[in-house]
Amino acid sequence: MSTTILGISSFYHDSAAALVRDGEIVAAAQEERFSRKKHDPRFPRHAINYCLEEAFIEADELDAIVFYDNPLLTWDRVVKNCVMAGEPAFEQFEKAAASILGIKLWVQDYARRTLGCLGRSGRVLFTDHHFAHAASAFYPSPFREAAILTLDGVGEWDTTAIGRGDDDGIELAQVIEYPHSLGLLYSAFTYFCGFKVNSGEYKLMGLAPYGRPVYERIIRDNLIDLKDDGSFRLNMEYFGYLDSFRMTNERFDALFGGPPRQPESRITRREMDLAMSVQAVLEDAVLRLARHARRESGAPNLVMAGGVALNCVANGKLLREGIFDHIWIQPASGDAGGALGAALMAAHGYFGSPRRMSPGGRDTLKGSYLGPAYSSAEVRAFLERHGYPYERIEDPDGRARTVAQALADGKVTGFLSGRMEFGPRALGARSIIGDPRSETMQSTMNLKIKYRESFRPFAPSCLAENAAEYFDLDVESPYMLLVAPVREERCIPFDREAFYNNEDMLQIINQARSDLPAITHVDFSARVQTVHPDDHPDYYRLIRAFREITGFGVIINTSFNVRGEPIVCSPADAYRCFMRTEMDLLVLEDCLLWKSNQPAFAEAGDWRKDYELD
Amino acid sequence: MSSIDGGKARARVKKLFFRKLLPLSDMARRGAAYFPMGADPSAATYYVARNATRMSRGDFEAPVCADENEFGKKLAALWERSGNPELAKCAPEMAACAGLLYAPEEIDDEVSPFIYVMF
Amino acid sequence: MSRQLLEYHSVIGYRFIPGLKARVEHEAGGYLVRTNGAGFRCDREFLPARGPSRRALLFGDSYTAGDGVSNGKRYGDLLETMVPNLEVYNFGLSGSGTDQQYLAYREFARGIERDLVIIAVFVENIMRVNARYRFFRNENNEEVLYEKPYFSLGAEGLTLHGVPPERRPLREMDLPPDARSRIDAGGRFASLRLLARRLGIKDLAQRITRYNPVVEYNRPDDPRWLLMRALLAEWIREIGGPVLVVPVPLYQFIEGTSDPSCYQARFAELARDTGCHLHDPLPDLKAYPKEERRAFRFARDVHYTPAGHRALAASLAPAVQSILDAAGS
Repeated sequence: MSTTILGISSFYHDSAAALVRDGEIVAAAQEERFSRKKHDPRFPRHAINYCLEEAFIEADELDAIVFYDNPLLTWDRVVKNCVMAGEPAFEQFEKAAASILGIKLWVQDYARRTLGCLGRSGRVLFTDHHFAHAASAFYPSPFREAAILTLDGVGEWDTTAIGRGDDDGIELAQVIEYPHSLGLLYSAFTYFCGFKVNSGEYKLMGLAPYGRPVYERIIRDNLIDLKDDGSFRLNMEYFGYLDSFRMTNERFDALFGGPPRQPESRITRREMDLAMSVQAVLEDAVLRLARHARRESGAPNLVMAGGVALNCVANGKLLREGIFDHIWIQPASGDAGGALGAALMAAHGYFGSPRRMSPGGRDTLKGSYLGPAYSSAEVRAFLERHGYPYERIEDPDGRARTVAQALADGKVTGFLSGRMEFGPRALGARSIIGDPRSETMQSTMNLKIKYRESFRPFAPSCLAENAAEYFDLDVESPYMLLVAPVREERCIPFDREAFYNNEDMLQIINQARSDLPAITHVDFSARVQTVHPDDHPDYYRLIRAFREITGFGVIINTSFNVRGEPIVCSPADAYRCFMRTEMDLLVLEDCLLWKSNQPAFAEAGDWRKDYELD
Repeated sequence: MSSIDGGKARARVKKLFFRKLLPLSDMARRGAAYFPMGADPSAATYYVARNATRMSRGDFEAPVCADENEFGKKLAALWERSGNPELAKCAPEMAACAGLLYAPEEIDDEVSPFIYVMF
Repeated sequence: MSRQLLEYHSVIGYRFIPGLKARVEHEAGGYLVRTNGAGFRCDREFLPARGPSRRALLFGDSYTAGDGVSNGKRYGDLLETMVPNLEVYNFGLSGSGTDQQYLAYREFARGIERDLVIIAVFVENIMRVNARYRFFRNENNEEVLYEKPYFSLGAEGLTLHGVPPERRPLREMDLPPDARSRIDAGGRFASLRLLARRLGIKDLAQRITRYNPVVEYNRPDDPRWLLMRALLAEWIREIGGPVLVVPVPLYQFIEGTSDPSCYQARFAELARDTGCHLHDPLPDLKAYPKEERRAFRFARDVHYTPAGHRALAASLAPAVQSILDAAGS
């Protein structure tokens, strides 16, 4: 008998829904993509609607609805935290009470109100937070058996979990408990460096190569006690999150020479060096945890999930260290992925659905293209209704050639093709793409199209079979979760020491660092996406065409949004973003729209105010 | 993501915190800490071994709470099991707060009978 | 948040986007929409030649297209389960008037073999037939005004206007004053209705005032009815074969708030004069207990619930079967 399960994550950060049928992942999407509110934490009714749409089933056909977290244990942690922290924690307690007692506890009621029923079981099931992460990593992975490492801020009590997955299911044997958390440590530095917690961690990682690890010793001596086996504890005297809404406190300020950087103010040498220092500590911790996981599990492979697993620089180091034969990381590693994990955990752990393995030895995540697609008919209906001029090229090869030529001519292109990605990265379904050979493309795309900080690097997409021509990478990286060095012969040495003394990031950004300057970070690394023809044929075809025209099988791939905006989902979202920025070309499935042909785009008010800066 | 709007609920939560939980803080500080606040040089490792390494079917069902009363009972049982009777005593008050705090987001489905979503 | 469901059509005004699979969020949870290659909300592809099954072509508006319920729960689909060996081609188009449904017949159904054509006239459609513009909602949930095709009735009969209709939305303020009176805002007293609804007294107010939602049927010589009648008569003539006209009642008639006798009389006259079959489902629907009748519409949305569709199908099935059996098909 068929079993269909809906997984839900919500009420904290980045709500999402996922649907699994007989162990097969059918659909998954984040609520923010539909609600257009970045990191939307509300009950994911739009994402749920999409999941049921994709499966084309009624809500009463669901065998179970599963929530990704145990609210009882989460409340247990909140209460104990506030008792420990005493009176100063009142405000935090008040907020947590509203969030957990007032909302999270009632997830079953939210589900009933949204769906009109609770499926066949008539109730919502729950998984433990780290089991959801573990399931999201292990079940779609290509491994029959694997060590499991989950790392995040906190879920119920756990911040880190080590276990093993095999034919018998998932076992989590050891954990590290709150408040000792690598995720929260990294978030503390994110906050201190003036970025937003829960979204700015990626910026901190991008900033790190501009700095030197001059604070690493101070961090190790004062903030974290890291054992050889990878276990650790933080020194809570320096952190604010027990009793306030600040991640750090005055003692932390004193340790690093003053108060936190104000958001949007100039980034100084201190922030660059802090970023590099905490990155170094994190990488060391991850390597030690991985070695321990290898010893404990005896498994030759590793799977990872949890927000910290999105640190692709650490992931790249872990890969090159060779602790495991193979590693696989869930691309939706944050809380959104908990929805998928909860559904998978219930599918296999509650209903006993047999695990599905890919016969080709690849994973079963379908390239993470698990969101909605829009047919050519839908695209044309949208364009026709609004009278937007477009050119339709039905032949996929001809279309790829046209777009590739535009890229080679320096045109920046918005690319909407196929099912939307699940997880924080755009992988060619909702991407802005460009020519990586240009020396000025990084600052141009950051400042004129993404409207974001100029230091942030762009990622390359390359044909899976050609990756080694450009990068020191001998495995697939379909989810842009591995950072690899650009091949040495492509790199152009420059005087880093001079940069370390003058803080002018633009000077280094606009300096050619390789023959692919727009995707080569200042440390000659790149966050690589390898594209396999089975995962996204149109995107593969486009890169191949670009290679035929330019001799380079690499393009820039950045998410299709502006700063603070969720990645676009629908053709309407894509068109709006296209017209608000200086993109030249928009591809909506088989329809091409040139900016120069479009009518003036009038909007009431300043759209920039719609998006809170992340 | 949330704050407390209702005055009654706010007062109840405040009372819960200051009258029931805050008195427990002294006890926690005197040594019965719920978690360690820093390093322990004598510890060989900081890993905590999980009692149950797998999720049983019962684990999926255990947190289900149909209403605040069930929540209060399950919370009290959890704390009795974990050796925290001082917290178990607070569970009924917490359940009462949960009942007061629940205010589901109104889903605005104002449907004009014959105005259709078209484009 | 749901997908765009409709696309521009140069004669009808719009139709469903072909090949769509969508779920529409709704107060009852949501419903599944599937459209066929011709752009109609029908699980069947429209084939010109009839197979071994008996075939009925079904026309109507959102009550027939099934706003609020999934395809399989609509009365048209349920008829297939109640009448042996029947396939129903559903041409229902949400928001359309009988005039647009007639155009849909001419554009898409003329050449399709069938045993019966069912014209389901949601009785409120008479307002749409007399309108040149209608409000819709765009993707930003704003009300936008669109032109629609329409007919006028003169000495030489019916004349079609407004084809092709303007693609883009219009602004009410840009219309000449006489044209503004031809906007269908969705029933009578739209703003009063909204106010009463917000105050939670809509049903009560309608009951007390014996609200008549469709005064256009009050007199046989009302020019608005004459236009509607001419349209139906021409359509019935053009079909040539068996036609069943079904006046689909507004909830006020089902729940006994309003007096249906005027519209019932008009449709009876139409049937008498054109020779079409007529099935009035209202007596059957009114035979249900009061609570069940209230459950024929949603809590807020006035479209029929699955229970409403079941009741309508149950009323309709014997009439359809009888016509088909009599025709020997």
